[in-house]
Amino acid sequence: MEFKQIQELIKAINKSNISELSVEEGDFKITIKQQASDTQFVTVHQPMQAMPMQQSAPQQAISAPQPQAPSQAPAVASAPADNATTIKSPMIGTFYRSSSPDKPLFVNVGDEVKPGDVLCIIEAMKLFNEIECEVSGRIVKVLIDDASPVEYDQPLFLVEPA
Amino acid sequence: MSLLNAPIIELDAIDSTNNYAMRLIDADTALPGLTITARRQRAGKGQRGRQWTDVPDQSLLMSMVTVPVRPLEEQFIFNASVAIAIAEVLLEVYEQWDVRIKWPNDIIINDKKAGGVLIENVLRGNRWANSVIGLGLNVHQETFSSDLPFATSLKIEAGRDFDLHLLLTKLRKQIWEATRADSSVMDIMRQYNTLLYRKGKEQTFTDNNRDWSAIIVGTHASGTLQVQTEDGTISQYTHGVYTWKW
Repeated sequence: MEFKQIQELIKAINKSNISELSVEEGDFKITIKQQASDTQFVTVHQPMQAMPMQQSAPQQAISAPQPQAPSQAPAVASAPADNATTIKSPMIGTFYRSSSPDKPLFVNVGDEVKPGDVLCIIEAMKLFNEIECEVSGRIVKVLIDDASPVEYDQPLFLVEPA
Repeated sequence: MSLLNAPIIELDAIDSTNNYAMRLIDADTALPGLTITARRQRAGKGQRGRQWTDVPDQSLLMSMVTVPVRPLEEQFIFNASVAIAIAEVLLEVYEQWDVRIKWPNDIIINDKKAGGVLIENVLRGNRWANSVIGLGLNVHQETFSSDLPFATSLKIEAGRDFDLHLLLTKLRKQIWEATRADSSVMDIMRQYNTLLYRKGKEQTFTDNNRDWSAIIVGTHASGTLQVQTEDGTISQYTHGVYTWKW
């Protein structure tokens, strides 16, 4: 394992509520521990864990994020420039602006985005697709309401090049 | 690209092995085949009190990072191939079981839910860059609370314990091979529909206003469930629109 990977692991652990992590790769073994916080365990919300235990309401068990409050409906900050890039939906599905109802929106109007940033989730048949940005720029318009159905190639965002 | 080169990260406790894998993908540190497992998890929604289960190794919890070889239009085929792989492993470890796939991707043993699959993908434009395949399987639970009458575990259905590491090794290999095989869409759907839970039987659905029955005909390659309602019409159900009633 390279030093960079170890650094990334530590970063990932710091951001998580993992108490202990061991990685083995051939002869190499590393164990990273951190102080666990009970509060974190209680508050963290986790779709994956819900799965095996919960069969009584299968839709909700692994359900997609629920509609957000109306305040998060599309908004326009300013008139988009003519050279704005349109980000289109790569598939048919349901459009979500956050990973779950209690999580912040991935992007808002006015946000700077760069390649690799997650813009939204499109869910189809219980498969969740994180749509990553491929351009650098600023979000000038969100064209779809949270939790709405989207068609293939339907415009989702307008991004003004940086 | 070999599965043997990909590390397995064993965690004691985690919110979500899928989230963890997605974070490693974001950090560009996730090799294809990288697998995250956890010994404990917070009890799922629907469980009373959201506390962590104190007993480790009750469930097999794993997430594997893959680079899909199928086009984006075949996401459901990819999902189907994963569900088939899991069913095959379960049939191999205990051949007396009646193992089924409940549309779209729950794992059923002897008419009860033993596990589920959660697939999360990373799309860069129209390119399907990564898929994280999450599996949660009830293994060593001996009972479930009364509000989960349709849940089961491998131990309940077999009357014995299982070697979690062996199970993980088999599942990891079978899922990996399934995601890399170039089996035809027709072959995969034929296998999926052979394993489809309650196929040819009458099933109750609800839209939370009313309940109705329909006969399950099969699953289409696009992922819709084909049912025949009482007046004889064939309908296509999209997941999430109607709820399956146990």
